[in-house]
Amino acid sequence: MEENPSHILPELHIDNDASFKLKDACRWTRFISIVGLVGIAIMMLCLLLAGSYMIQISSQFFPGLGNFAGLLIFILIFFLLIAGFMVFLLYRFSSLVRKGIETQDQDVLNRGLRALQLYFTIYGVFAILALISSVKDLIHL
Amino acid sequence: MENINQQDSIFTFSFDEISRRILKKTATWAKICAICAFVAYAVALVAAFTGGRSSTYTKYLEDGSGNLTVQTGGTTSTIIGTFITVIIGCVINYYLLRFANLAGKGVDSMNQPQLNDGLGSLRIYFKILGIILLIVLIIFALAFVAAMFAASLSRK
Repeated sequence: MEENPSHILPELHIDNDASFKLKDACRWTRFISIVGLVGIAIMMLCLLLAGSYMIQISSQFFPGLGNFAGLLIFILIFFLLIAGFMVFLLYRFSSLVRKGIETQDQDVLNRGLRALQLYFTIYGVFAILALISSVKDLIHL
Repeated sequence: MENINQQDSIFTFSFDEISRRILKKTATWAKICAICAFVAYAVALVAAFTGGRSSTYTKYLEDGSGNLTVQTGGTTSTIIGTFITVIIGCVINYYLLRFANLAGKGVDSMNQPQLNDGLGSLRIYFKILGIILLIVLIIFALAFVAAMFAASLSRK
């Protein structure tokens, strides 16, 4: 009687198909993370160098905004730092998972997958907050 | 026997218990992200059609003397814009949701093809994001070149 292959291989293996898909995902996340890091660095630089000027212009349309310039710059920098951290997590996922598959190192692969998990956790928390905010806006219409 | 050993040597690398647990948590959060995105798109569509706060846009124009004027746009263009955003967003988040469902089920039932399909969806999700980013970069580059060209023409 022929033995069922699932009994021979009861584990979830990183076969050729899975490794190809993971490597391709890593390639794209690397691209996204590098572009993202550069973009966030440019935005941070603009904010630090010309933040007060930008808020001065904006205060022409939103009077009273100038009083909160410092706070506004701080909030923007805070969000940019979070975005930067998320992009860094994507970069970590791409480099560690790729390295883990190539060297067949379980620990490196797990660290890479953990970076992706943390990325989606932060993304999920912000998605929930954004959803609550938009629903609140819709109710107040 | 030799055949089995050969298979073992090919498949020595696997998702161990820790990585399966991580994948499961990733899938759960990915599902939350995708569902939140779908609900947010529905909210955005409702807001656009009912003429809510987000259905108007504001343009800042310089009149040449250095003064800025505010121009508020109508809702038709906003509805179209929202509609396009929602369609693109739905396509992206469909793959995220597909990854979450298939990877979660694949890990639970130890189903290799299902997990591979889930990873394929994750790959497509990041691929679409990367292509959109590439398009945005190209548009920015073209806008920059056009601005430089316009500036050089105005000097002449």
